[in-house]
Amino acid sequence: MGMASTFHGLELGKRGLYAQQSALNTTSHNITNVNTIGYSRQRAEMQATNAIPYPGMHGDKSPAQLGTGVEVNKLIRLREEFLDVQFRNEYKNLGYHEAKSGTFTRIEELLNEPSEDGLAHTMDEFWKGWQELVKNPDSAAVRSVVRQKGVAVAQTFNQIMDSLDQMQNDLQNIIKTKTEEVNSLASQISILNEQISRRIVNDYQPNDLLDQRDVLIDQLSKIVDIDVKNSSNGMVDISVGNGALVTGKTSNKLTIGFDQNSGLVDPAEIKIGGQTVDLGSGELLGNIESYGIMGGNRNSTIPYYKDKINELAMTFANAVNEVHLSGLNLDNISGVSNTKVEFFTGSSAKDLKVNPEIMKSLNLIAAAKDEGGGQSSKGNGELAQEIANIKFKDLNFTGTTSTADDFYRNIIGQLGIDSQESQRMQNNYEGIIKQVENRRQSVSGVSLDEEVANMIKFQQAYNAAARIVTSVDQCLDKVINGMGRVGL
Amino acid sequence: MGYRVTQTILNQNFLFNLQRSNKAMEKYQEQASSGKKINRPSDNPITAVHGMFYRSSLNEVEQFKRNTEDGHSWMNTTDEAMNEVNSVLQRVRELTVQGLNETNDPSALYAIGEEIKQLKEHLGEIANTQISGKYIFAGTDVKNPPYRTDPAVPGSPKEFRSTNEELIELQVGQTNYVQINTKGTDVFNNDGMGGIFKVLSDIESDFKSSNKITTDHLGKLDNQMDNILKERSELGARINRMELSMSRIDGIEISTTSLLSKEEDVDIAKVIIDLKAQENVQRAALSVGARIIQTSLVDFLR
Repeated sequence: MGMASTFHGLELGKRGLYAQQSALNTTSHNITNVNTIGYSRQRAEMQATNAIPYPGMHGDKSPAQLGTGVEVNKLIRLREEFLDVQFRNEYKNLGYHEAKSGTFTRIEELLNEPSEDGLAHTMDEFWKGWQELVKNPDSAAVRSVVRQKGVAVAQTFNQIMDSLDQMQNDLQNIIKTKTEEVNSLASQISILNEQISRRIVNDYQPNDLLDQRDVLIDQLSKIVDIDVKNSSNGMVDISVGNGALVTGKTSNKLTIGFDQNSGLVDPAEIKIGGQTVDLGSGELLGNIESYGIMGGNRNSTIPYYKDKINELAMTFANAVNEVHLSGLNLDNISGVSNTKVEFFTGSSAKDLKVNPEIMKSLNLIAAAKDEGGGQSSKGNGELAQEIANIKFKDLNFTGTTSTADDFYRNIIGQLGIDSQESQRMQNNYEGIIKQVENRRQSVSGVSLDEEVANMIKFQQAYNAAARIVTSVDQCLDKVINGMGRVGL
Repeated sequence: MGYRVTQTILNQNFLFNLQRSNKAMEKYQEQASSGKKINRPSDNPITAVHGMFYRSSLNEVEQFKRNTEDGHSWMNTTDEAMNEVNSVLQRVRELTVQGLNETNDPSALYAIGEEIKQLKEHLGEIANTQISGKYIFAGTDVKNPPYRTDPAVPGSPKEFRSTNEELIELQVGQTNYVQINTKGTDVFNNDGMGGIFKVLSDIESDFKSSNKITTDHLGKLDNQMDNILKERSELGARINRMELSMSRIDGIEISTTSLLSKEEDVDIAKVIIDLKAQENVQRAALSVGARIIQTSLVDFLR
């Protein structure tokens, strides 16, 4: 008659103690990592160990199997891969719109409209200066006011362009930093790939390394549009466009090239390992578009607005100059000289200024029109009136004819709409990201209540297993020390 | 398994919603403190563009208003001057009638001639009327007195020598101009042959010389008085037009200001109520947050 081993019960109790202890350890690992970013909760998977035959009383056939206890055969990591995919698909859009709306907001702050200090107001003041000159064409005080208002307009244009240049400089640095970040993440991911594959080959489940790698991939997915594919031995391959950024244990470098002439980003020079790639979306592309990309048109944000401001400045200055040159200044009227000068000089909004000659002599401001024979009088303010009327005159802008005021208001309206749209998109994606992140947390996040309940459950099981050992010990004590001693 | 809710989800949701609530608070506070519905174009692009347009219109209106005021005072000064011209001519006419009366002896006629000479000088001063340093009857040649000696001929008598007939026009609307000056030549030299001054000096010299008077002085004087009347009525019509423009501009100013205010200004009562409502939401969110953050099963295990 076969029986289980004498010490079977002790072994069984021991296994119970071990298994419950492992579960308790896993629980405390979860609790201590409750605030660890990217941590996925783990669970000790318990399984009954292989049973042994338990022969019957009347033969050696085995009518039953005797249980042998429990073991922890796996520490599993609770995570849904499709939620990661979803998260990363949305995260790049959040990154893109964050970068764009940041730029739009800064341009809005810079142009500072509608207000009493923006360009629109400065130009209004300029026209008003000429209106005053209509009434007092010979007054040095009024002439000096006209000159100062001209200086204010020119300086406002200069300052807008300088600030846009400064923004571009900042963005160029951001683009470089973000590129380095992509390369650093790619290299860290390839190193983790290597560590993970070594453990997987040896049949280990490297849960915490997988978490670390997922955190890095999440970060990367905000900067560029990535495609993540599982490869051998638990490794992942990551590509951007058709460029391989991470292939198993190796990574390639992302490089961004700037056009020599325009200084803008050349899309043909966005490369990974020598291969031109399309960034798709993400924070890096958002910053590149903000900074300016060749052939980007409206998507090339700062260059687009720079062009508009430039066009406004030069069309405005040329219109003023054209009328100004057709008139007579005080020196012409008094016969001191025949020289006529432009009111503004400069070739762009960046270097626009009031003619240095006028800065030297107020007499060179023309307010009068020819009264016949190239002569005029000091009290003639007809030209000043014509200049003041440029405010209402339709000027020729690229693809449109409108007043300078209208053209500028269109720029502001356009900016407002662009900015509003990108803020709305950013808000949307923040909401979506929040949803997906919640769902991911719902699967992978540590719940303290749950862990504490589990802790008590495992603790009780541990205590009970210990009782089993005690109980078997008492049985053995009876057999060893108590049997055959009748009457003693 | 259903949707597990962990402490982290509760915390994150709480922070996310608190953040949105803070943003809303910021928006209402900005509106309340600035008094403006929008502070950047993206707050409402349409309002921003309208606001800019109305602001610019107000600047124009402000300038037109100043132009009408300046033009009005110029024209009133002109009207006063012409009124005085009229008085002078009335006095000259009385003296001429008196002088033409055959009972005068030569010395009395001479005295009348002398008074007319003085009146002619006074008329010259009127022709040289200035407003803020500018001669109003000199066309655009505002820096030279129109009644002057000929600089080329030393010792020459003063005459109305200005020939400048330029108009001075002020803009009182985008396409609306009002002529503010009255041409000095029309008033003082309407026949191009010396005008009023010639008539007066002819009378003076006739009376002083005691010759038999053959010229129709009274007729010529009456012609000049008619001319002044004509110029004054023209000026009066333009002053009326200017006053009409002034009241129209005042009207535009009021309506544009109210349009701008409607576009940009906040309804303070509404903002304060919104702000208060948002504060309540905020307070509720914070108190709920305080509870969910503190509590876990650990608190209840002893």
